[in-house]
Amino acid sequence: MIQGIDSPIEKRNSGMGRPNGILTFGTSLNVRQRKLLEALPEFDSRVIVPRNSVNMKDLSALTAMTGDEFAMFTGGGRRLVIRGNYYMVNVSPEEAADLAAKGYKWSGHTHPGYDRWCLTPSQGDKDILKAFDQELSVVYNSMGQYRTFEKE
Amino acid sequence: MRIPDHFVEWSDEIKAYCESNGLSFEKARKMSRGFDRTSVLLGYYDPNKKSNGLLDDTPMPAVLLISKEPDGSLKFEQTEHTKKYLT
Repeated sequence: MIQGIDSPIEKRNSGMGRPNGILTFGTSLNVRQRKLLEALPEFDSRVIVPRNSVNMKDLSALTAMTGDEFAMFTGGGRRLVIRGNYYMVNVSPEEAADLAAKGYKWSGHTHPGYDRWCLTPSQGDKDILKAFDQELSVVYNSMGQYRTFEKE
Repeated sequence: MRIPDHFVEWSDEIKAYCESNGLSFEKARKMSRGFDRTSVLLGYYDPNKKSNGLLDDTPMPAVLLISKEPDGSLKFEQTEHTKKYLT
């Protein structure tokens, strides 16, 4: 397909919505991410959305934009997204067990930061994984990099 | 797609590195593991410490990062916690 003058290279490769672009070049969230962030205005805001409307890269982009952690849980075609702050999300092991009983799985969460070291899971991450009786989950940083971690 | 357990895949080289650097391979083997496609990060999980889930999301001590280099060799990066938990 021939690209017209209305779609120059810099527009097609704007980095919009990409965590690394947001962090490095100050690009903006994409429309879907903006709407999600509007629904999550402050610490412990929660929203349930259709499963196909958000993924972990979106949460990484939100973390790049805000500096806050986000956690996502998936069950029955829906995703529950919870906004945290720069070092925690308001989910205790008891609430995790409750979410698991309601049919949710822990899809993953974010750690604000720019390098691979911040992808180290916390003691609490492992305990949440155990509460879900899940084998693994994933943590993303503000750059869109990720690392999976296991229950044991 | 599940990422393979690089620690198992690279265990011979990791064991050799531990032995030549005065580190315990047995302790390394028992560390918590986190993976991406080209590396494994060992961290210390304290089974006796009660956490409060995501309410305390401070990363556990990172002990050793092992990465596959483009030439196929392994790169080992120690941290300030390596000696404490692997000797």
